[in-house]
Amino acid sequence: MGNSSGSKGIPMWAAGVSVGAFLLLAAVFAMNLLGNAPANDEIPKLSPEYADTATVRKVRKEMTFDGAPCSSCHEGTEPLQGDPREKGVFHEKIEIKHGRNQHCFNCHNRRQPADFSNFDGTPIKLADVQLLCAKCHGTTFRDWNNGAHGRRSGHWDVAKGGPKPATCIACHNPHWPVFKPLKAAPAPHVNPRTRKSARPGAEHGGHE
Amino acid sequence: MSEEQKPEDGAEISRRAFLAAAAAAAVTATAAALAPMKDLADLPSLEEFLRKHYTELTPADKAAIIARISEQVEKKYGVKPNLTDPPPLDGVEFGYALNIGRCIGCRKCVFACVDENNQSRNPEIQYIRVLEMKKGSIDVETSNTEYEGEVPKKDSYYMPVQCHQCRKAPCVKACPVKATWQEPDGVVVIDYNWCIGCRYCIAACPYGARRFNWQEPHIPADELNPEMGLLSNRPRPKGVVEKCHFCLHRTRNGKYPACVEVCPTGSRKFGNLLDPNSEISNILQNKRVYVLKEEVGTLPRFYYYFDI
Repeated sequence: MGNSSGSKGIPMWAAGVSVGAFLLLAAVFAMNLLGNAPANDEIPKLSPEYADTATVRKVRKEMTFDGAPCSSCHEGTEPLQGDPREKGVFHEKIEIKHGRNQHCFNCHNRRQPADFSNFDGTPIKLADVQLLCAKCHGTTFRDWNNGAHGRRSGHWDVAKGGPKPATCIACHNPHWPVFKPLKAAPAPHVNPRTRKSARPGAEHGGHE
Repeated sequence: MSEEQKPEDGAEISRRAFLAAAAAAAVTATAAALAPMKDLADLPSLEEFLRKHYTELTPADKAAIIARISEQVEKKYGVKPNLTDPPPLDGVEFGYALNIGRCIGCRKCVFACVDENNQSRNPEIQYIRVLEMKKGSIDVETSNTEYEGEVPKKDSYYMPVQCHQCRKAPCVKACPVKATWQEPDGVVVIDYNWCIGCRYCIAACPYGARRFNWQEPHIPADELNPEMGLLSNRPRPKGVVEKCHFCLHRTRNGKYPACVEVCPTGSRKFGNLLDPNSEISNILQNKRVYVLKEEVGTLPRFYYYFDI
């Protein structure tokens, strides 16, 4: 290194630092010294019940009690007389919490126990149970007919078969019709990187 | 350089030698940083790389793409998918209504959607968020999404939020590559092969409806839904955005979306806005309808309503 090339030279320490910095970077990358991102949490397998399209109640096809038709006890043209509770233990488990309805025959037909009763006593079949409910819940019946109330499945397109509405008793227990609480499916899983506990100073970590 | 350093520190290296050493070290560092790329296995094939935008595809192109994706899916999951691309129907504009008075927040819609639309299970991607709101409040900022156990909770109501399929969709405007657009039936769709993953659309969406595949999506092979649509629920690659598409592969065949089918309370309503006799038209005419964030002017096709 002559005097003329002196101005073009680089001090040894400066060259060492810059080359060393690159080599350090190479080591950091090659040996993965920064580590990996937090691993994914285990998320339990989806339970098929979360996506089960069944209605909350099973709709019975015919009116029976313990497998026996209503007529096996309620035979005859007139209903049982007197206090039904004295006749034995049959329908005690039924809890009636349906507004002011306290009497079986508000809905059930006196003379044809497998059917229900219209205003004038004419029978309503189980298959047409919505007509029974419509006696009091007229606006809901209107909405159900128009599709604003109740479940529908199948096709929105009438040309392809149209919707299949679920009947009232597929969701409401007629003796206690308020819709029962359900267990919620799992809450959304929060990514380990964005979880609040992982970032103590985080300001945008979820709600509340 | 500095005249005072030169005399006291004689050790020097020529500029040429320094540049050579520094360049060699820099190349080493770059190589080390890029080393993980040697594990990249899913580079796009040439046809994939040269593919045109979805709207410019000829039917023959589309058939080839469907065959190719079917093959990829079968190779990865061992299930032969029924991949189709149903076209939008004439005289149909989809609309959605949700009865916030009836929803109990059970989240069944969330999981029916995940099942139907092949969303990643881990990391978890869900299109529907159910907000638990205080009765009397419509402030989504105070909502809670992490409730558990029996629902409905006291003094709460539930507002599920998903893609609103806006008529003036901010996400469509934001996309720099036109990977997302509105179909004639009103559904905003995404071309998963065209998306560059910039996530501008996520920032633009006022409903938080879009999800990004930060990692390779993971779906157990036995849970894969083989009924697939090209623009809807076919498996997505890593690095693209996805969102609710009203179950295009179902609804364009006349069926209800999966979330409508599963809702145990019957709060979810779906139909053709252009048909005056459809249930959705009836609800919009006769019910009290609420549009979420109406003031942002997105004109959604997703409506909340309540009875009376």
